[in-house]
Amino acid sequence: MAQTINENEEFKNQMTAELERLEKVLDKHTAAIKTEHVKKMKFIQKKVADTSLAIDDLKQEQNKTRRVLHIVPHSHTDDLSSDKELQRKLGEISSEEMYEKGVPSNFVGTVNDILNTMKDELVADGNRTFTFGDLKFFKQWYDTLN
Amino acid sequence: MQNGQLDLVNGGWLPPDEALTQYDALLDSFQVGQQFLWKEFEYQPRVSWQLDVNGVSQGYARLAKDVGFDMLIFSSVSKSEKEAMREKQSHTQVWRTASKNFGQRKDVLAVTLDQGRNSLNSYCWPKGFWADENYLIDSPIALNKTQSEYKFDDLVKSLYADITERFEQDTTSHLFQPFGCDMAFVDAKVNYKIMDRLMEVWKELGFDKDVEIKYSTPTIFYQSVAQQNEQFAAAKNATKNETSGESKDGWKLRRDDTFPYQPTKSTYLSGYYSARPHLKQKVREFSQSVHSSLRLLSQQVLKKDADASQTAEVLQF
Repeated sequence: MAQTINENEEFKNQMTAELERLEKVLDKHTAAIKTEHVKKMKFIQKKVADTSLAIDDLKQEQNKTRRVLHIVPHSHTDDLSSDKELQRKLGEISSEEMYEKGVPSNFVGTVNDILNTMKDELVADGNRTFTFGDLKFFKQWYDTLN
Repeated sequence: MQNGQLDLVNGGWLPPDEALTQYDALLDSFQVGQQFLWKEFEYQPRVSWQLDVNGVSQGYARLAKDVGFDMLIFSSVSKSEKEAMREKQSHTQVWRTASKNFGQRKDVLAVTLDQGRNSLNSYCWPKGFWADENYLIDSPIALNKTQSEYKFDDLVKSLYADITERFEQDTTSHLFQPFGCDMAFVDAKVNYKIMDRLMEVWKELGFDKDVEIKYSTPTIFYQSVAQQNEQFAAAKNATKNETSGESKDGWKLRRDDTFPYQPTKSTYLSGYYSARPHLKQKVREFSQSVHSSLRLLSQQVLKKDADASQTAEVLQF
């Protein structure tokens, strides 16, 4: 410590000036680093945005050109017309009998079998599907469920 | 039905066949069937499905929109026309009927099933998969690799080649592959086993990178196709015409019907023009009675002074 007030004050002023200079330098450095960082971040942000845009584009493109094969399991239980023998028999047999006893031709099984086995398979795997268009037969079967 | 596994198409009491009966009976059939579906499941079919009819009339296509259909799927198209379809890539068409009066309002999508020149049938299994109990053509199919007669890989490869060819014959990137036939699925397990194995092998061989394979229904197929082609969507919602024009080429228009149906070069299925006159007459008589009694009933119901018992009386009648 110096002895006089003047000496002390001079020292204090010098130190304050030094401190201010250092602060300025620090500010300068911080600003420089900050601008650099901001620049980098902006660059990366732009890259990210570009990439996500590209991903979207590619996805759209893929969806547009993605080829899908739809496997449609179905059964068609009304066509009896191709069989001459059947046409003769159709006059003698009602649709209820057809449903219960099976179609009177070389076909085995009944509509009931089709719908019952179909139901079991659909329940076993949730991905499986089935398409049916003969509503009268469907209702007859549906009524037996309840 | 809720998760879309079971699809009840048509919704008519019977599958429609416009060759024999008149539109009157057709509409009655739809009314009965769709009423049942709505009452039980609150479901209305969007796709009509005519697998084995003697041709599809434009009168039916005209009514389809009013019945609630957006897509018709059928296979009864003459052999020569199918060949033209393969060349012109027009298996999926927009069927525009009565445009003089309705413009584009009655437009429906029309999909013709066709499995190529060498297929056995256009609405049944693909070639090599006929192993149903009622069709023992390719049965039994060995599905297990350890079996000595295992040839399933080759079968899938030939199907893939076939599918690739068929994709080139159509403008859409969705292909409809029926898997079933008349009185098929009597033992559904057989068919589902084959399909499960088909999908497994399809992925093992790496085909799913090119063509995705999945279980589907006509309704799912319609949604995918309609989604893909904005042109149809734009035609459908003529008022909301802001969809982007990025869709693929538009589908061909169809204005005529598929009569006379010529399944092979020397066969015409046209006998129904003159066949079964008594059945036709009976159908007309029945529809007439149904409609007149309905009319009587509605008149009675609308009468202000009629009480419940009187209405019940008419109902009973």
